[in-house]
Amino acid sequence: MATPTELPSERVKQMFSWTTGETSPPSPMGDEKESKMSQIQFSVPFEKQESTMWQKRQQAVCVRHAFKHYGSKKRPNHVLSNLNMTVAKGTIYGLLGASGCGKTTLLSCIVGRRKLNSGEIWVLGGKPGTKGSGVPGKRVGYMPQEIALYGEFTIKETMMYFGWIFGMETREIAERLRFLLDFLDLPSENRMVKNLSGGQQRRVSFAVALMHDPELLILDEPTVGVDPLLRQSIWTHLVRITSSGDKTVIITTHYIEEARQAHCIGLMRSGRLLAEESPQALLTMYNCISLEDVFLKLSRKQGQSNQVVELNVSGGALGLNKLSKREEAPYAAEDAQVKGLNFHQSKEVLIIENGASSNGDLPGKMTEVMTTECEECTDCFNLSNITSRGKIKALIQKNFLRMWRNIGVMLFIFVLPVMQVILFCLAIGRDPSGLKLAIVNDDVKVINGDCPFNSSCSMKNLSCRYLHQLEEHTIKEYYADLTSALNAVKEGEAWGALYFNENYTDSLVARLALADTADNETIQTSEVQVWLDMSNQQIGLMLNRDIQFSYRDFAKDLLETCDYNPKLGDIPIDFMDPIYGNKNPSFTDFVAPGVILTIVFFLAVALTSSALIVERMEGLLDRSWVAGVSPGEILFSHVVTQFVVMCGQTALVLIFMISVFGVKNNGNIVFVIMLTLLQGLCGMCFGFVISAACELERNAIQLALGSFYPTLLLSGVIWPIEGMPWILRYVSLCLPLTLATTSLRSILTRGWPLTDPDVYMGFVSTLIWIALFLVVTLTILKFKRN
Amino acid sequence: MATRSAAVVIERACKYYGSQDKPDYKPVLTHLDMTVERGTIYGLLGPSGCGKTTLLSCIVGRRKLNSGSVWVLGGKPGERGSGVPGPRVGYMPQDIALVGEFSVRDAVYYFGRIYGMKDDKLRERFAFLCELLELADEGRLIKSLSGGQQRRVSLAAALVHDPELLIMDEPTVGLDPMLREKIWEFLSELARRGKTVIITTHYIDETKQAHKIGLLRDGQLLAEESPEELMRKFDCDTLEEAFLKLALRQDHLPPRRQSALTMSPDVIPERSIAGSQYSSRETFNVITSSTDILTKDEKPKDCNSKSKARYKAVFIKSIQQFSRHPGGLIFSVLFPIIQVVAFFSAIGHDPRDLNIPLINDEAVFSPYGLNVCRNSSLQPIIRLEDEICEFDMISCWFIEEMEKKLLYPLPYNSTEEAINSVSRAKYYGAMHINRNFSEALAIRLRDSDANDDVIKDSNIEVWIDTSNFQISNFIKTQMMKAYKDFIKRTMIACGKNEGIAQLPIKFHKPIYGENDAQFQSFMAPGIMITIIFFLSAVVTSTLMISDRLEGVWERSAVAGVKPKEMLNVHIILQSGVILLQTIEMMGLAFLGYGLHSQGSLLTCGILLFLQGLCGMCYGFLLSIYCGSYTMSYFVATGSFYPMILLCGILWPLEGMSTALRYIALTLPFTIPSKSLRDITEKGYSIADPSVYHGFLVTLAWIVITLMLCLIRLKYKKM
Repeated sequence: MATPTELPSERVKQMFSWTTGETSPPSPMGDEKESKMSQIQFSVPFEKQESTMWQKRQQAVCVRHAFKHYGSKKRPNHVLSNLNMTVAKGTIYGLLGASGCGKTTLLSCIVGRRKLNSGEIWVLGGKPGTKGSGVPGKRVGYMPQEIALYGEFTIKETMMYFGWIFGMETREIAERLRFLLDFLDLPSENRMVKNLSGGQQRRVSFAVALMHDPELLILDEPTVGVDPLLRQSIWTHLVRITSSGDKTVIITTHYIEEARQAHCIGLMRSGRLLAEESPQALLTMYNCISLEDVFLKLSRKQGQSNQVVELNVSGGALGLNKLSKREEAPYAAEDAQVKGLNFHQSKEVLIIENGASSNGDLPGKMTEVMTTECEECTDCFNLSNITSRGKIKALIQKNFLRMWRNIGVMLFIFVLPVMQVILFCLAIGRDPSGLKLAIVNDDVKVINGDCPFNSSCSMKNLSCRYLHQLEEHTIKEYYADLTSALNAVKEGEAWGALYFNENYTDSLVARLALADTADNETIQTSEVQVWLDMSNQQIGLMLNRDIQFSYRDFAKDLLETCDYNPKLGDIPIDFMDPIYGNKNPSFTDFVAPGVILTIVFFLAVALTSSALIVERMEGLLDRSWVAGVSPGEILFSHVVTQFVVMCGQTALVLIFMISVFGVKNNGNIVFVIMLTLLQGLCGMCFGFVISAACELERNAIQLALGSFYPTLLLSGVIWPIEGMPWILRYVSLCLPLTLATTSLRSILTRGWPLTDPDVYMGFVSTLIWIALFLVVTLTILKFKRN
Repeated sequence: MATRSAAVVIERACKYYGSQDKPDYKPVLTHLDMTVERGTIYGLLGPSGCGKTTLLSCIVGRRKLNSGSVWVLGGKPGERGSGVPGPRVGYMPQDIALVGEFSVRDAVYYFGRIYGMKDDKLRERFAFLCELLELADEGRLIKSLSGGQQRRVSLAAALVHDPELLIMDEPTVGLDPMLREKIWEFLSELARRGKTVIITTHYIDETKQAHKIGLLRDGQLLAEESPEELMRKFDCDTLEEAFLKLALRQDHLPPRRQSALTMSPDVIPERSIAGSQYSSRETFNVITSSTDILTKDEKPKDCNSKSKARYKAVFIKSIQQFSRHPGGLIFSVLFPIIQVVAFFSAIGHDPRDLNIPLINDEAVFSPYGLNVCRNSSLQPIIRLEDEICEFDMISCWFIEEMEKKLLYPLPYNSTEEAINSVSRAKYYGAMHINRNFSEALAIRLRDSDANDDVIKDSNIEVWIDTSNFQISNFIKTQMMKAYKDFIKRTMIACGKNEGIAQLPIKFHKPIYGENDAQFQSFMAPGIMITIIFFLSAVVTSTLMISDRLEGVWERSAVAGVKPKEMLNVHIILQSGVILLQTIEMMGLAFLGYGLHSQGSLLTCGILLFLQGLCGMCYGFLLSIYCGSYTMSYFVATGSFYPMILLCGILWPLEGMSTALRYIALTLPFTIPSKSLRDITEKGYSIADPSVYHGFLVTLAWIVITLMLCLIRLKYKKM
């Protein structure tokens, strides 16, 4: 039961809930004013009592004791404080107030986008957001304050998108579209929304809200910045819609004067309704000419008393109400005469339809709501099942269209991975060539770089024979003496210096012959002296390796031609054919799996990390939500679209890597493709997490870019995780790319099947990450929604 | 009316977007004439999309007309000395256009400082505006205010310097009716004091208090009259109705539209008279000569002091914007640390705990079995007999040497088992030592012409898995080193030259670097450069975009801030951040992780800092040329990967094809990362070509990117 202070206001509302007692269906073609009048007269006043459940359900919207605050509990920012509001069915309710007074918050609570801190709301007989209430969903049409449409869509595509979300047939949509274009005086249906003028965009937005002919139409400032002619016709249309009695309109506006045409006005200021009355009643009550003045007076009053002013305006309200209806009737009729919009004929038809349908089911509906709630539940549930496919179809089509309209970006998205793969294959892993070595050969006199030798079993000019083996990657520069050669290295002109002693050949022969009896001098003089520049690790190591290998080759060659066992000159460690890979492992083959995965992963991140944010910024997310799309569905549609894009990217990356640049693949290509795709999915889901968590696009970008480098470094792509400290190794194993990289490497170089733990662990970890990311995203979305 | 001088005169203004023949052609203003008298309130009415905002931005000099002329306060907007854009106008755009991280006070002060107001005067004025507009608590951040409160702050910002001409684009949208009334009172007061106010609004009725109303529809003024006149003429009670009637009339006369509306005397009777008065520039100048003198006087000293004030204002703004943005702050301070730590702890360490399955047949068949190597007392391995060494169980020594090289042999019983364990990837390699390894090795060393069996027996067989490049390389080199040390030890024990049985190649101490090359010290310079380059690029690439999207850019520009000044301030501020990042990274790398530098740390620091600047300029380039975050993000990511691949830290440039190598050399940090490596590894000074080339390349990139930025800023208004 209500507390004493609330009683008066409660009573006021009762006075205006004149459709609650509606017993007779309105005549379809009759004057709607007339019919309402009769309803008012027949209505039973419920005085001095809290509205019952039944009553609340009969109202289109009923808000009781609503409290809502933002911010922390310590410093709450009160937006709604003890707000009561009643919107009767079949009326236009004008919600007026300055911005920041809580209008938009109230509306978003009504459509189920936000939850109240306390208090209750009934919308169309149910609580918004509960199953089967149809709110958010098909039963409400919502036009947000901002345009909230995709700029890259044509009018037709926009309408198709929302039509499908509401589960309408394509034919039905086309019909409705034709009507709306005509009615709202919109240009060709193939014009892009972004090319329309502000007013036209607003009209498209309005058309979207009208699309599915909802029971409850909520319009957040529909007439801001609209041409006066159009404004009139919008109002006329609203009046007409509500005339049938089963459609309700809630409209907010700053522009107080235009609300004269509403059946009921709620004046809202700092989270409270100052008054809830018909415009005429207000004017007479405060003895003002304009509503503006009324509001001003009320505001002053609130400001003076500086506390809750619940207005007792019940006196004479009923009578005034009648009056207002009479006065309004001609006004509306006059509006309909406004030229420039030729929608009379088609509208006529619409009204008949509306009337007919309401005529048919209205009486039944009354009891239905009361008695068979469950039936309705299942009804709506079935409905949602049917429309779900339509919704997803709409969402997917929308995503594809968006991509198609941003074709430049999409091309970039496809060219980028190819470019990266090409660059990677060209730049990484080839042995450096053209490395300069400074050589001082005191053994043989070298003239003009010509170092003669005999390739048979001859023990002459062995230094030259050795140097010949070094040919592969190096350029030999001969220097006269050691100091100049060393200087060349010091100055960075050569990567290393080689020095051969005066009697290198002789001592080498002696060394081979004497074996362990060779004297120190022989051994010393038979050594090639090497000084390297190790400042570039890769080059240094490669030269080191080359110098040793070519000696072994040289010795082998020499011994073979002289009929000795070629292994005699080698050290007694025999590297057999490797179990996996080849004898000269290439860096490319090692890094390639990691690179494939990082490219696919981070491109997917890039694609999706801003997807939701952009949608949120444009206000479309809100709009789609009110249309009854769940976060899961939005996510799913993005997953599907991005997946298609990713398939393309994966195909390009793999084709270039494996076919064009010949990265070795010893395994089953199907698993390679599968794993790459899964990693792409994983990246995509990571992108979703980022875009759900970050409010601002730039934060999302920074996070995505910032995570790139550590992941690359920690995932064992360029350096094995066996080299990390053990704590870090576990951290690394937990990263999404690490196990997958190992797995892909095992498939590519070792040719392992899926049954091997190393391989399937990659798949498993990727799947776990995907699931984790999706759960996190959904949780964040759910959380943010409330 | 003729005696009063006009504040704004517009003649036959035409403005369209797109080009005339293309389908995107969109006329906004068509032959528009407008006169705003000094000391009046001019209400410009019309639905959105009718050209109001375009008209206003032409008045404040943000856009140029396609044809026609505009005079504002006696000068043409955008000209030198006209004071427009600048301190003589106050502009309140339609959107809030304030930095969300500002507090109420900061926002008002920011604009006050731009106009070069003194602090005490500013304080006074702020207090006044606070009271007038009922601003929220001065310390609250704008982003936490409600829409109406933000709008009031925005209005205060436009009023702070008490401008001669106040232009307000829908100031009262969504304001409380009481406040709206108060604002109109204030505007009337302003007009009484001789200031001019142009105000646009949708609320047609609230302009009743204006002195003159211009009704704009489809790019034309339908009427330009006082409200009373209008209502009388159309015999209406409200302006709304008058507008409706006018609009209907316009629609009725489509063919005669243009000429009829601008010329028809009954719509705007004074129009032609007013028009003729200012038909040429000369006459106009005569009328407003007083202002001309004023501007001339102010010009010289104005420029310098004002520009300093503007710098101060923008500077404070940027600092506040930056420091109140936790995400950005964390990103720029914490990320270098995370990246450096990730690099130093993850990259370049030798693999640990590598086990190698070992089938030591020699040990298996020995009397003590596998434990023979532990049995130290029973190991008289080497006996000397006339310079001849006999080996027994010498494989134990080899195993010891291997363990010293971080390879841990794991006894296995059969070769198949060991190889199997490798092929199941349990281990990276397996080895096998023959039963009579010691004997065979002894013979092989002694006899230069050993037979094949001896050679076979003396060989240690190794199988490795080369699928992991780094690890297989590591095993190989460690094996070789182990062998080297093993044979050295053996030979010394035999009393022979340690060079015997080694490859006859002697690697001296490298001229630069270490013999055991560290991957880390090789990569560190390059990694540090890439980190600092991209961090600053990422941070700055979004800076200007957010300014632009929030509308702060436009608003500041109307207040007279030049794009170049904005850029300069950002550069200075970011330089500070980069300096911090450089110090942070250098501290972490050189002190924390003990990276060794042969050369001067100062030179390293300067090069890193310059690279950061270079990255910053690159970021500016992105943020100026890219319209949206997404675009700049794609370009940044797109350029990130190739630059890392090509810059020579992952793989030496010498391994690339010639053409690619030249491309790589032109990238902003290929040569600098080599320079940095030369400084740390070789200890080169700045006088060395390979070092100063790095500096030159960096500077060249900075200059080029900055030039491109400035060119774009100059030729394209943003």
